[in-house]
Amino acid sequence: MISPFFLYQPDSLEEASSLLAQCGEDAKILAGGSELILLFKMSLSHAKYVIDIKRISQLGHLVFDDRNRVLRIGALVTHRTLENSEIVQKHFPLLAELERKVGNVRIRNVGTLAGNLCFADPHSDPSALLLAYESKVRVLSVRGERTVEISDFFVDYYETALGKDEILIEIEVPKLPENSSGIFLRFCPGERPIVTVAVLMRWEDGACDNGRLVLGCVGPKPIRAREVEESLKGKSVNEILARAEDAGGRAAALCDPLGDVWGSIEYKRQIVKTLVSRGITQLCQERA
Amino acid sequence: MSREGLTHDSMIAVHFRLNGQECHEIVTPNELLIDFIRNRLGLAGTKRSCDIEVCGVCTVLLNGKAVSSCSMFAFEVNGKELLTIEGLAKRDKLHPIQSSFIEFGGFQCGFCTPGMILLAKALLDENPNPTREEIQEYMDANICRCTGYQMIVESILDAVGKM
Repeated sequence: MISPFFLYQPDSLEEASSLLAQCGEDAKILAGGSELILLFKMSLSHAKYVIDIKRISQLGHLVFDDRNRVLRIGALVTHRTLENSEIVQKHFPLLAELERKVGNVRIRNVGTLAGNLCFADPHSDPSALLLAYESKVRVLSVRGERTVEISDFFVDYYETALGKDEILIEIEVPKLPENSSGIFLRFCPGERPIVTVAVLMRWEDGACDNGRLVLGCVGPKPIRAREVEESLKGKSVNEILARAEDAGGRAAALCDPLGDVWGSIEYKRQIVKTLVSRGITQLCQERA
Repeated sequence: MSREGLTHDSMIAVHFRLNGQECHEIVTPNELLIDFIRNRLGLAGTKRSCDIEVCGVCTVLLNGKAVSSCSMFAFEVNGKELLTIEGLAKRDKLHPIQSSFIEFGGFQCGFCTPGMILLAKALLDENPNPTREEIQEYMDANICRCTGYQMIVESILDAVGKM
């Protein structure tokens, strides 16, 4: 039984942010509700006021901004919309592929990517890939709007940099340069992923010019493995192939997983090592 | 700032189509869709099991999309079309998916079946001629403890031919 609450259904961002400012900590934002309602049911969260943002038309957009070469994902865009979108499939195929794997189709029909990011469940899929893309989020409050790098947005387990009076309104995902390739791997024996790995590489003259490696689900927030990235920089396809397993090992040492029913710390580190070396190997083999 | 029309403190009027018929009801904001369907509308075909949108026995179709009624508020039906398992058959005439499930043994205890059949309908409405792999990927969303899934897939393949 969920505690009773006042429901607001504003139809503009101004109304929504004003309501949030007035209600403060007693209010929660509702989009798809696929995380929020679970929290309410388990009494892990409660609200005197629920602000349903689904009537705000300014939040429903999914467009490729050609000029700035970024994908703009409005806060109300569901996982299902992203997975089926021709724009996403064309410009961000890795993201479309990832979105297909989130939860199950019922969750994807109502759950939003924005809501997923705000909940900051360490065991989630999109965070690692969005960090690898160096995405940003735009947030709004009565105090104004600001843009936050996704690397700064995730703070800790279930904690983001979103202020109490702020609403996440858009996610910006920059498109990778033409000579890039990428892969997203996940280990998910149950409902939520236990390890995710995102590898992106930009190739210049047969060498890796700009590699990005992100480890997800193995720490309070996704981990950008910069040391490993540095070790691959400027190396040729064959040199990287030779170093793939070593890179996997070093990535595993960087992560900080919790031991739980899905695996011990050592087990999860081993999975990280395997997925990282597998991902790097596969990207190089595609390139060779 | 005017709050009129924006605030619902105790009661919300919802106007929607239920299994093809116009429906007008009043719900409280905190009322869950599954409770609304089972207790207020008296339609017990939609089941409750895991209660955390994993198992899918609570699946209903909202504007044709499969959703978990256990984890959705009742007020979300406003202005939409809700289809429960009771709405599939037309009087005595079963929906093709239902008769296929019977012919091919797509159920044993039957508890997951309403959700499974509605999920199959959502699939076939989106993709009328799916491959076996596409069926498996989509239907992976719902859990069955009895059948081992094989006959569910066969039932759906059979239904494809009839629709």
